[in-house]
Amino acid sequence: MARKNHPDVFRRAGEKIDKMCLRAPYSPILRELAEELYTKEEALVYSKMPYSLSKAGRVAKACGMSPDKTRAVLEAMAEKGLVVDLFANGEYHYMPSPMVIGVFEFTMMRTGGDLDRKKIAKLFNTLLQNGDFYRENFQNGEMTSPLRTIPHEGSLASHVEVLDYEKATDIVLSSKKFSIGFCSCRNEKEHAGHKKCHVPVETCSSFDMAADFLIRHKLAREVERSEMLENLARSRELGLVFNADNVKNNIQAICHCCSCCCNVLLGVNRFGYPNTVVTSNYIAQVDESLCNGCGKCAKACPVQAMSMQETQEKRYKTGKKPALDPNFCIGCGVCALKCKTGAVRLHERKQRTLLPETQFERVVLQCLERGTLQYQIFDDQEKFTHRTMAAFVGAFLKLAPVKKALMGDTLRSRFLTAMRGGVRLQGKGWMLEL
Amino acid sequence: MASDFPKPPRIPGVSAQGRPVVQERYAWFDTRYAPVRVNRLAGAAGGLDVTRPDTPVIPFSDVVLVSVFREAGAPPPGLRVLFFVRERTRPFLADTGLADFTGFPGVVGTSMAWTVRNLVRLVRERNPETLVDEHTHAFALGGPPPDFEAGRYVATALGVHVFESGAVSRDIWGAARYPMAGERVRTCGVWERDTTGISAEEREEAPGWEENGFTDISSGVFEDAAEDGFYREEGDAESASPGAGNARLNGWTAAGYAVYLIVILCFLFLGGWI
Repeated sequence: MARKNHPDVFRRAGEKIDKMCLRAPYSPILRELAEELYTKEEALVYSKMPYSLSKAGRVAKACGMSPDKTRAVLEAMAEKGLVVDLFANGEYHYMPSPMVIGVFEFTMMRTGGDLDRKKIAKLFNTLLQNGDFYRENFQNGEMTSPLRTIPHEGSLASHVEVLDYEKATDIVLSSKKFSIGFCSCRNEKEHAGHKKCHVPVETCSSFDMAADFLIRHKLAREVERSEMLENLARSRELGLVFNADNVKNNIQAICHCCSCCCNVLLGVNRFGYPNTVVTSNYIAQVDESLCNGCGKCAKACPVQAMSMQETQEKRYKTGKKPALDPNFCIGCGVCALKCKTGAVRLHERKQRTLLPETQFERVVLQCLERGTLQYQIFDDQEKFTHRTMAAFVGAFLKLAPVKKALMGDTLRSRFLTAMRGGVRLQGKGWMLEL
Repeated sequence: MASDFPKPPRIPGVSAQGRPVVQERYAWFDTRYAPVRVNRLAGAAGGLDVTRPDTPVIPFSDVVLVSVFREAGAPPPGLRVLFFVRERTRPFLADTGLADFTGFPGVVGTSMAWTVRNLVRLVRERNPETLVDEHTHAFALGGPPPDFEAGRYVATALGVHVFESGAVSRDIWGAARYPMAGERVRTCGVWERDTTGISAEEREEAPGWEENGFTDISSGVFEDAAEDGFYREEGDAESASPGAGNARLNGWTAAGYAVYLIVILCFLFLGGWI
């Protein structure tokens, strides 16, 4: 409960990363990574700073350092993407970056500096591909993932309705600031020597607040809306999957994912966790009267949900017909884009996916599912009272019936309302708008 | 999803006493082991080519386990080759009717069955650490192919055996290997296991070895299995149904929860949260 801090600051930084909205189980590899990314001073500040967005003064108090020095360290870390700084409520607020979306993405998006990219890419590769990361975050059927799939326009059947937040072009049209940066997954695979595809690396699309953060820290370049639309069109031609922020409002990013490099799709393809990404509200269906069994859909399917199976029906010239595994279809529409006869189209799923309204809701739900919400509520772990309360609340929230009840349809909205009330009481109501 | 699971086959009259019945202890179909269907298996220099643009050639040294079976409902001969590969829990499932065996040296035989037998032998020759289940072993020696309901159920059975049962563990980057006696094993799947003091052979032979800490029936997929009623019917009731033991604690647990809740509400009230 009131555990004494470990003397190794890099270990403490690594352990802190494991207590965020998406967990990254502590291991010697994570420690080595922390040693590569942080200086000793940075690791100390990172491990002591509050978990939620806080002003530099509060961080300084938690770290026991002077405000000026703390600000300098925080800004140095923000340049590297190890800390997120957001201008809100008339002042900069800082919070430690989680592993995903955060440390991994921003590090692999960096273009300058004296970073040993090859070594870091290999460390990230080892960390993510040993399966522990996916196991910790997705093995219990967690419903809230950081990303959700959005269907390709043009892949939907004619009678299907699509909402604005489900269309990539509408997301772009409703945003004001745009940036394009390196895709962290492809960049990581390239430096680690595992990249097999010819998909360009510079595709990662961010909007508004996220774009502003990335542009300020030179992690991405600012682009016009027209270039962003061209970027989407190119990815559509390349048959990439669009994965957006798993929220309805203020969508901050769209990933352009290929099945060979993307770490999100890797969770589905290699480790069989279909909940690594939230599906769209659509699912592929094959119209057998139009299908000629060419197999292009199965070849294109990024999650290997579509496969060709032998058939004796004479209609299929190749002797094979497509079969869909509904457990794995994410409803991206890539198969439909490749189908020349129009046999494969996306149709509405029987049950619609419930998405968090805002980033605040997403973080709360993600933390609740992964047993780390107590750190967001009692976020200053340098205080005895916060540590004690976090231990109590954490143990309570980890009880299976409690977690099940709070994540259930009946109590979830009430629980979120209570959380919003708590945040307003703390005078941080602006966080709810993010 | 649970309602869709077919019941596992039970052999009447076969007692579970004396040896662990692994097959009855996991969720019968687990997406972590759902096979990826290969459109066309082909031979390549030093490995297997699954002819998928996103999957490079799989070297023989990466093949952890090979299994051959006949898929029910498939047109004859209906032989399927299932192979687990290092660094992924989902195996590949190849339809031999669509495979191109000419790239594998010395594999093509007089019939499809012999071709597949030769393929199994080739994989084992190139990588002696590759595991072969007993049915496939019998098939490779000239027996009939084992008949299974569908690939994904077989895959789950083998996946649990390979990655989670503790019989075979996997280094993060290493090949599949047997744990040494006294070694703490990090499996790819769910548990850390302690094989303290008992060798793999002893474990296989010792009746009731699961009581000695090898099999954690209280966590992970076993819980699912308990819910789905997949625990063995024979044997002592305590180990067959962990829920029975827990039932006695329910009263105390409920009281504990209540006290806990009151304490937390007090703290929240004092802290100005409610």
